[in-house]
Amino acid sequence: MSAPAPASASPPDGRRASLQRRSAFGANLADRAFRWGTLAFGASVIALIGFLAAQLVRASHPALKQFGWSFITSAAWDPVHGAFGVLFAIYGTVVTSLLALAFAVPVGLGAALFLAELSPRWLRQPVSFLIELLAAVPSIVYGLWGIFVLVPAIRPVEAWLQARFGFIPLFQGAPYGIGMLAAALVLSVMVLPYITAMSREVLQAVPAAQREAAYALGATRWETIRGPVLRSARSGIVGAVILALGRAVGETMAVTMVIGNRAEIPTSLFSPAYTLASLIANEFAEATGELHISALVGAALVLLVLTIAINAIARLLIWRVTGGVRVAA
Amino acid sequence: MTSPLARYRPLPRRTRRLLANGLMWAGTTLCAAAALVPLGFLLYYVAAQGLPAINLAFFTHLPAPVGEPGGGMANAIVGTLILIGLASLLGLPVGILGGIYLAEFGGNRLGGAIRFSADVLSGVPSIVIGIFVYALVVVPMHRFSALAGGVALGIMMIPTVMRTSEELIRLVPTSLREAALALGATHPRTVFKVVLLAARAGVITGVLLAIARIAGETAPLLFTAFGSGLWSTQLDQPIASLPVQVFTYAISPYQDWQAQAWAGALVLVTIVLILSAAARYATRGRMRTVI
Amino acid sequence: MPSDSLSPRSHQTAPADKFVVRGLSFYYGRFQALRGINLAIRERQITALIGPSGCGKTTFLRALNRMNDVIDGARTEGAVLLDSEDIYQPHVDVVALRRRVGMVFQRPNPFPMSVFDNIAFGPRIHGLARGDELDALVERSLRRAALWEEVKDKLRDSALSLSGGQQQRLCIARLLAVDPDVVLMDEPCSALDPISTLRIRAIASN
Repeated sequence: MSAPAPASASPPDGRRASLQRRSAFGANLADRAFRWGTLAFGASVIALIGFLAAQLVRASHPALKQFGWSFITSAAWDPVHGAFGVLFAIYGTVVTSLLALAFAVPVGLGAALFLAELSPRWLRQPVSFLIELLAAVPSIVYGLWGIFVLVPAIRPVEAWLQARFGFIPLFQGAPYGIGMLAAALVLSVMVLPYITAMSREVLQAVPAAQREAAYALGATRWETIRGPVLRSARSGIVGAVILALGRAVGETMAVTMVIGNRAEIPTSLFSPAYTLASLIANEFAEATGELHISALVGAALVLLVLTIAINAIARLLIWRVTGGVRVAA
Repeated sequence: MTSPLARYRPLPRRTRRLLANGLMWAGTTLCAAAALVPLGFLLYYVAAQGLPAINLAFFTHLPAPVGEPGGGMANAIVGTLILIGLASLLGLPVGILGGIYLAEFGGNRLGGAIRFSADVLSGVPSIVIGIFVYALVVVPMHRFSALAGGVALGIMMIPTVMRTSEELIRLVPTSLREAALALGATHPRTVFKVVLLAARAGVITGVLLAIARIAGETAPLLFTAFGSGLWSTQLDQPIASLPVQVFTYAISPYQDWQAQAWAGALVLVTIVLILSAAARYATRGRMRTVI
Repeated sequence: MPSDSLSPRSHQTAPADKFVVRGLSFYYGRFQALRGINLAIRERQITALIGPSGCGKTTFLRALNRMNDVIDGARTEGAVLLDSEDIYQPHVDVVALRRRVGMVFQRPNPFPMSVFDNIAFGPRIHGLARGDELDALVERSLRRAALWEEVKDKLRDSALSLSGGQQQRLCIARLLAVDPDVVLMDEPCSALDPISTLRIRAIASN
């Protein structure tokens, strides 16, 4: 208890008592309501995910029950006769995405190396900024550009490839432009900024001490990068690539507009095909019958599982290397 | 005259190493340039094809009947605004309050689970979210609706808003909080009146980033808001939106509609790029979030 | 690769000046870290720089093998003569310079590779040895750094699995593998325990 203050300055007993009352009850209640309130909102995300998975499973149950494993092993997709197997869509998804990576990873990694290691300081920010802006462009705009600009542009390329290398099955089939190659190209442009930005972060996270050790031994820039820098950044870069794969797999609009939408396993680069996402986008609105809808939800479920698995692997790798740089997929 | 140091120069692999080094320089510079080319191409075409079709009618008229020239996307533009508003009603509270929880109390297992779920959610393809909301909202209501579209977009906003809110609230220095607490403020009051105020610029830009992301989304709207050729502001009816309208016109066989699709794309890209660029610029260097 | 004919050591009996520093000034942007330093450093001797922290010892050391070049906004004035030739002249091959004038840093910085690959890094890029010769070179370097006995069974293990003192000796071995004329050591023991410090002092005396 403190010494009594001069009468004019000390608060009346009534006020001190009311202070105590509030701190014992009122503030405590406010604090607890705050904590539980925000917790409820935060935890709703967990519930959301669970709910999402549950709904998909429930709605796809009829089709999955009827077809069992053949749902993902059969490529027979015939709404009229009630046969549903999504193998062709899985194939289309995986192949276009991998092809997209094949185009995007070398260029993206090269650009990341340029930005992280070689570019003059004044150039770094603007160029990274511009490349990352590519990621903000909506998918539909890529699709628009795809059908009206890219496809006409690659028709002559496809024709040339067929003329020169037509004996390889990859380059057979009518070179209309629309098909696997177009989809892969559009996807590669869409994932390029992700690969570049994330690889750049990973490269910049390599400690300067590593580089200095290499320089002190008389290494050139390239030898330093090829040795310790890439070695340190390796798992992070792999994580970035896998994350980009996850994005490519889930891409819908741009792919739908250039892939040709044919429910068959494509036999060449020029064939039209389907991805899981474009299948759903194309057929859902006019789906005929319960089973058809259920099968499409089943396709959505397969897509969900695929993306979750891919993203989980990727984040594990990136998190470990960059020590917590958060990445938005 | 050969100097002592020059004497060391003809090492066995000198020129090879220099060559490799030079090739690397050239190669990576080319890659960086190559990475910029698509952006240039894209923007050029969108502008070149879209600008001619932009006129006042585009912003004020409804779509003309199929096959007839003229008309505009007024309903789609308004529709997009309505959808963004609805989405924000869902996405902002959950995102910001959830972000507050993570920043203030989130060091425990529950916090980890929330972050993990948000990360998973951000990786779910937008079309899958559309299907989810279809089952959740459209089916019970027996119709497509703006509400459903808003819910779908709102769900997509949550991870972005939550993540940026958490990060920026964390950045507010402890000394500020302690000053407020020492003055007798309760925890909630500290957060709402002091911390959020300090972080508000960042949180707002996080919100802008999230809005930029959902404004251009088409897939989740295909089976929720569905789209419409008519003027509508009712929440329980299908509603037009810019991305869906662009899609419908783009795949149509009509020249006029295709031209309008480009115009719509131009408007979309302009809005989205301005929002994204502003948001990124405002938080440059402060946030560790990538893309 | 024969080194005796290139080394001044074999020709002279009295130690000559390896480095002659003339009017060396160094700027980090606007801040001047070194002012007009004049110094001669003899070969085959240990020369120690002592001074209060922040006085520019590290900066000076790094100027001797042009490690300061990698810093943005750094400017060097004056001349540093290595064997009577100014290393700051434009035509000088920095890569070759750094091989001849090696550096050990304050904190050990082994590469994220195996012990063997760490030591072999230098010889490999300079093309000094291959195959069996390389193995022998690695062993020789590790012996000179007094580390061979401790790692000879762990050559393929990651260098990061070694203790701090071992890592620093690894860095020294890595340096010795390229056979430098001069070794610059920037407080190499400041991050280490006393026993490792003694060991490294012994290496230096050799």
